[in-house]
Amino acid sequence: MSALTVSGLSVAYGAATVLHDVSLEVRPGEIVTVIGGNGAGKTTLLKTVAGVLRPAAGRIAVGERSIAGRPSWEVARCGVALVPEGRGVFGDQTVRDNLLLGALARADRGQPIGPQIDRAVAHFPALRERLDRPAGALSGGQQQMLAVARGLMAQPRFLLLDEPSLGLAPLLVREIFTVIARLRDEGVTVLLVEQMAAQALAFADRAYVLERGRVTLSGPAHEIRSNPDVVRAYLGTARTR
Amino acid sequence: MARAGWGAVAAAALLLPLATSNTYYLYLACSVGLLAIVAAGLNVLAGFAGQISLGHAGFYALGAYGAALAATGLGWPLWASVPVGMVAAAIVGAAVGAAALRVSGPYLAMVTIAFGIIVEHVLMEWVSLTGGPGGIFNIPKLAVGGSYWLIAAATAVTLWLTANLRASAWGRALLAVKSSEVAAEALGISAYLARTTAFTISAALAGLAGGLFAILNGYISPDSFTLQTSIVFLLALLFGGLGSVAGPLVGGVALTLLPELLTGLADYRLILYGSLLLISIYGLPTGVVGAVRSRARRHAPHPALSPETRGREAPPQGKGGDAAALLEVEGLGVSFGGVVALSGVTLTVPSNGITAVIGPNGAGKTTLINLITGYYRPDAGQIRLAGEPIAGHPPYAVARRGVARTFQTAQPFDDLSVVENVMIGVAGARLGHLGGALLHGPGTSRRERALRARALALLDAVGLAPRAEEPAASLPAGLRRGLEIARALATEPRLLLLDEPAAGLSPTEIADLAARLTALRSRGGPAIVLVEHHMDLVMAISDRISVLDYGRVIAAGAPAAVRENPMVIEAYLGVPA
Repeated sequence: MSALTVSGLSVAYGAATVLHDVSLEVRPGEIVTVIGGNGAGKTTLLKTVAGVLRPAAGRIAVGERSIAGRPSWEVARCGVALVPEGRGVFGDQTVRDNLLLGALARADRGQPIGPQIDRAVAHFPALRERLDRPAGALSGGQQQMLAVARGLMAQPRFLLLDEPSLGLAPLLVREIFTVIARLRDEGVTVLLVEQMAAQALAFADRAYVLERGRVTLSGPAHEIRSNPDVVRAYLGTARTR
Repeated sequence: MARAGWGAVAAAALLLPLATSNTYYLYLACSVGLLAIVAAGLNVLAGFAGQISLGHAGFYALGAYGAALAATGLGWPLWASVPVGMVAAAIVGAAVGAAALRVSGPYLAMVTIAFGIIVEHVLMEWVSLTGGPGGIFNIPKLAVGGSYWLIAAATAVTLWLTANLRASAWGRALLAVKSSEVAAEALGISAYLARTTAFTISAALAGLAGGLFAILNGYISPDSFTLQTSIVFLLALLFGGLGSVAGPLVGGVALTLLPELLTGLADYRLILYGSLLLISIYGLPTGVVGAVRSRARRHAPHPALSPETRGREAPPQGKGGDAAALLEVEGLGVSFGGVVALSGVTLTVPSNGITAVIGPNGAGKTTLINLITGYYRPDAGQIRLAGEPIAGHPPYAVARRGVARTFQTAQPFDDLSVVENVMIGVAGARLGHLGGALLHGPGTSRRERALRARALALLDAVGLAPRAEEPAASLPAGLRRGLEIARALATEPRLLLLDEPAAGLSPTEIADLAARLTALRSRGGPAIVLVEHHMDLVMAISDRISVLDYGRVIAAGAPAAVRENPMVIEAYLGVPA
């Protein structure tokens, strides 16, 4: 299986360059996490990989196939699914319809969809009970779960998660990281952006630290986790339960 | 650069009558001015307040017929009859706006189309008054040269008024309503009142242009006031630049001159308009003015915040020091479509300190905030603020009683700069005198300086002062939350409700937030209701905690007790890792 590679990536909004010469690699079967403060460029990185933003320079590839600057629907069909920050669920449509929309980019379009919905919501009992409710009637945390489940419907090879723990109760935060680890065991490769750096590093295989748009540190997650600079800047008081 | 541009336009307008006495050119210039006046009025409605009208030919007609009837029927002089048309359009505009603005967006567009068509047909059918399809002849008119000066002056004054409005508390309130109605109401602004005001101003300006049109031509008929006219008005605004002050003038020039240059193609005029519309939507989404401006901005140095404008955070005057209950919620219940969201919720918030509300996702925490702040109406129970019932009051009215809030998904006003966002909070419902805002009187300038200084001080306190002049849309997620808290505090609330303020913040930023909230408490700042999932934060700074599960309070008390409560561990915290 092929890896997702980013090399020399620069992204600018108008005159302001947000990412400078960022390179990273996500190998099949890994959980790779990107940590960094607000405004470091983490969300921009994920959006650019997913084709939502166009890079100013650099290469993004799935295996040998370049996807830099391709439109996001095309990137999605290469097996890269973005679960955006802030949920972006379709509030007027039911939970089930939201999931079906997520399935548009899946690889095996011939297969029946029912079992796949079951599999996507298996991790999230609250969604299973509310399949026919409008997504807008879900609580914020439930919408977050729906966004992740919708990403899974595309049967992605690469799942890009932008702060999946945002707005989740402590029990569910632990639950969502467990789900991510389980997905990795099922063969999904995960690129994870998180503010809850301690948990992300506990579950990830490798990590990158992004500061002001540049990669300042990378390596195995357990090494990053014990790096004194990282502890001071990102782990600090965060013994979140 | 903008100043030089306006200077050039003024010079051209002054020189034109000296350079040519050709009445055709002067007439064209007059048409540019009339179109620019209507488009500037529409700009207040669409560009500032975010509402589209496709019926402004109706107000243009009211202005024209009002002026014509005053001049011919009553024999009034010109200087008195043009204002008659303008006032008629404003009165009808206020009435139509008050009735139609219960709906917005596409529905409003439909209602205004209907209004335009009704006016057109009344003009055709009410022959005794309007002359029917033949119109009104013999309106006393000025020579083209005289009309030119009158219309040029009216155009200049109109553009000046709209520029003043944009820079005032009223202008910011309109943009806030366009950007996020719910957030604007949370700051005490009535969205309905703001839109109706914008609609009335735009109708009055259309009426002014209509009156000038009547005395320019000396003859009017219903043919000049069709749906197509309304579309040209809107097109001029979109092509020139929605929301910018110069846009209406640029659009007025383009939409007047292009059809004249292509008179040979008169039969294809509609195709030309259609093409222009497509060009503006695809090629110039911010209009000609927006395109020019973004090019200029790329070369301009970053406007650094000069040190003398940076205020200092003044310690707020302590409001109430007693521990009496500020907010009392009793037996509160609400259900949506048969699903019970909250039932029998009772909660007391003293007038200072931090009260946390925690609970699993979907327990009803945000619903509780929405009920307290007036976004939802309870089915049962009481909400009292300082002893007075507030349940069922609209959000802006609750906000005016001193209740501020933030939103789970932060809702800054993206069209406005960071400092303007906070200035909206500082001004709140006190928008000042509308006339003063339009005329930019000395009182308004003083107010503006005070608002800005206060807003900068608040931004300084949350570390956002260096980004004060950037558009709010450019802030990353975590800073948007900081901005929203600064904006809520700007209203100087008695009660501040925070919906997951730490979501998306890094551990360092969460520590900063905790420090800021405890500092607020120690200064006797507002009572705080904190909905949050970060237990470190909640346990560290809360004075008391209420736990919601399935719409009911399952536990309440001091943090230590709540943390050990077996029901809370089971429903929410889980077994400590």
